[in-house]
Amino acid sequence: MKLFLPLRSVRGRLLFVAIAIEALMLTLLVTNSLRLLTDNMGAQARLHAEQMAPVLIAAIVAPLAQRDYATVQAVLDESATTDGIEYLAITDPAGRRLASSGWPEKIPLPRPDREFRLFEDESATPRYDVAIPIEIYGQKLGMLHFGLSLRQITEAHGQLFKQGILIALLEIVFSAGLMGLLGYFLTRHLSDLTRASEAVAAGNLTPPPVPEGKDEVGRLGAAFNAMSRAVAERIGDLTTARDEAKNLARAAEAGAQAKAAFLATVSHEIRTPMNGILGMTDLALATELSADQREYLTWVKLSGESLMRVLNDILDFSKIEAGQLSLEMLPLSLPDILDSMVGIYSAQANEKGLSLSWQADGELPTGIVSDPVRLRQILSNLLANALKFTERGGVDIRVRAEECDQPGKLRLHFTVTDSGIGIAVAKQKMIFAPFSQAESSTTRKYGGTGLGLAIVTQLVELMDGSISLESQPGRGSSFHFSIVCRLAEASTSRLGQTLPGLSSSSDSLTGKRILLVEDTPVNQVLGKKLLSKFGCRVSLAEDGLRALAAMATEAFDVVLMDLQMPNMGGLEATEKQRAREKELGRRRLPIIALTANAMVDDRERCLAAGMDDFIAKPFRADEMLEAIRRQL
Amino acid sequence: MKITLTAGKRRSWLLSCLLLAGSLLASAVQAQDNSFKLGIAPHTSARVILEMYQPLRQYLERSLGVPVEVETAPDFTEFGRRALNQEYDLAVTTGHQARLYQTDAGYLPLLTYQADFKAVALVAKDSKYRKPADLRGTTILALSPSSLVSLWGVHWLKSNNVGEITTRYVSAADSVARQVLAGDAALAFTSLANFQKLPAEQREALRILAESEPMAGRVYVLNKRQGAARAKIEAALWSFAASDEGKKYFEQNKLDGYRKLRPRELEAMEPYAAETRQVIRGK
Repeated sequence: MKLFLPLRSVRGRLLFVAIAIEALMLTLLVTNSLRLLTDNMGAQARLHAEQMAPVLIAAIVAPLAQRDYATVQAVLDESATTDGIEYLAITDPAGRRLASSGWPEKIPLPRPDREFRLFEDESATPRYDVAIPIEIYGQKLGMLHFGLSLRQITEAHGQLFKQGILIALLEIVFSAGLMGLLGYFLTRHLSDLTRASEAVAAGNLTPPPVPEGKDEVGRLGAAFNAMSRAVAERIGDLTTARDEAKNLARAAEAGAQAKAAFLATVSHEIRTPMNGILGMTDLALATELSADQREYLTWVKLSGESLMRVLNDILDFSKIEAGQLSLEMLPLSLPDILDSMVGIYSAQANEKGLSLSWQADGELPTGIVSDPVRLRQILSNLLANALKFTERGGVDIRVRAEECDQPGKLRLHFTVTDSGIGIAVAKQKMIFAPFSQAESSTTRKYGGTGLGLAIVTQLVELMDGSISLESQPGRGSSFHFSIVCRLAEASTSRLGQTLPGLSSSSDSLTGKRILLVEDTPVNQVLGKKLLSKFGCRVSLAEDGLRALAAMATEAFDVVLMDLQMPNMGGLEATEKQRAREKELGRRRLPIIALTANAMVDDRERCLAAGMDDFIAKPFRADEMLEAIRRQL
Repeated sequence: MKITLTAGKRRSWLLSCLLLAGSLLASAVQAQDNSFKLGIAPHTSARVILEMYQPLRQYLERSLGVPVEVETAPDFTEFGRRALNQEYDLAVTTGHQARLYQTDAGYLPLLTYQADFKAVALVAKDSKYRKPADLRGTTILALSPSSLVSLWGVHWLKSNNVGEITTRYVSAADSVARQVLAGDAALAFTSLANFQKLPAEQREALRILAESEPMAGRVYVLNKRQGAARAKIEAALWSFAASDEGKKYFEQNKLDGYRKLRPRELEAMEPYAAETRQVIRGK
């Protein structure tokens, strides 16, 4: 409802209400005064009539009984001079006028009023006409008629009404002015406060101070000023704190970026030579060697692989700590993963005479979506530990699916149980901390960085799960962990999919033209040797520029592209090649990244640049060959 | 139904209506005038007369079946004039006026009260007026020149050779005693009945200087136009006397009841009647 404009302000509404109340009260006052006046004067008039009538009757009874009408007339004439009497008349019982005073002879007497009314008829003379029978001892002598003038009452009523209205109007006008003025003085500071508040709302946190005083509004103004100052100070503090926080965040971000860059560099710089070491060792082991030479090279390979695990653990832990580890959710087959894990570690178990198996408790769901790489990593760590600390018996993996309170998801519960040395209760919590092992002697005896379980814990938590341990020294251990998985969706990604099994056949690679783009000499040699061994015709390019030139002039079946190279990196070269293919309408040449940049985002950058697959250094020969086969 | 009248017929019809209305009005006035007028001589104040004769008025009203109005007059002279003017149906007045009405206006004498009517001359008990001669040169009070008491008083003064008297006439008979006691007058003439109805303290403060012989005080005379109803009216009066309210009335006013007029009782009042005739005619 829209308010009349002046009523929108508090002052206007207060003024309106006050004036309305005052008008109402004045109306009541005037009305009541008029009523009281009317009632009082009317009562007096009636009393006058009631008092006068018996006196008059008493005075005229005797002359009436004597038929002394002259005396009756004299009495009437004298009584008619009484103030307020308009006329007096006496009629006999037959209604004939015997005497009258103040009323013309020829005009019939007015009919008596049935009841006393002041304003019965405005046009009529204000008069109360009364007729009272003159009766004594039961004998009717006649009727006394008289008219009581009400003019005085009506005039007084009219005057009081006019004066009351005039006074009421003056009072209202005066009050309106006074209250308006008062309202202005009371609310002008409120208006200042309103303007100041609006200024604050508009962003001016330090508006000009509003007037202060000792009254309520003044105290409100003082409180507002104090609040305004406090807000300004607090905003200043917050701004300072925000700036500091931003600086800290920038510094932390820069630190994290530096750390990530450092990690990437370290990873790349270690993987590149390790690729050479491991690859060359494999090549050397594939040649005819003496028993000692084979043993020495085998130790070289094992040491290299151990070094790679340590390196991977450190890289993973660093990524987790830096918050840079993200899950890659892909459809997976749980039995396939478990089969492959058992397959991978069965050789190690067999060497120690241990059993290794997995089994499902209940039916396992299909179409599970999770991060298969990280799930393998968790299982791998737990299996490696179990096999490491178990001398007799075996290791068993159990898995079951449980309902999850999150819609569209389920919980997978894994238990890796071994019959190994076990862990004392007091040490059980400690083993999940980074760089910790149950005993310091463990490191000496079994090796390891102590990062494995810490990484497992972090990965499980990343996957909305938890991990716990049941163990008794000498009786083995059971590691329980659960992860939350989504149910499968239609879309899939090529990368990370469970790869089809390797074909041991090398026939499909025979004669294939491979362009190896690699700047590191040892890796050039390694790649060339390895591929040549499987019948591939290998061309070398030392950087991206040369690779582009080669791809422009020669026909290749697959390109193995390093990323970090002088002159032009692998990503840029790929992009240019894709652009050229598009421009010239050539068929798409499969390009596989072959790089020591082993981070997840490196894969994504490779795909984004137009590459078709990704092989992290150091790679195994079969891994590389399988990747090549997939592109042919 | 539609009635069509010519102009002449309309005029005659209107005239008939007016005549009918006039005759109805006249009948109404006549009916009011035909109320039975009971005239009471003003032997005391009008209020006292009205009060005193209400039992009789009401009884007559019931007995005769007509409205009865008690009337009086400002003084005896005016009362006599009205009576002679045939204004009363039944008049109750002093013997000498009854005689006058009988002889001059044909009124029919009916009856009178059993109690004697006497006039008395009252003076203050402790006053110096012990004999009529003491009154010489004083002011005396009387009711009316034509009242029986006044006429007796005049005769009494004359028979006692009391001269140089100033006579003042007072309309209210019951106020003469107060005036005498107040010293406004030396003596007042009134009836014995009126004296006896005075309050005891007034009565004890007064002294009867002279008392008349019993006279026909208040005689009921019937207007000759009511002659046909004389028996009925007379019977009603006797019936009233026998009724409870009548007995109470007589007892309160010490009138003892009605009695028939003695033979020539009114004729004996002829001298007073003659004087009254002169007074009335002189008025």
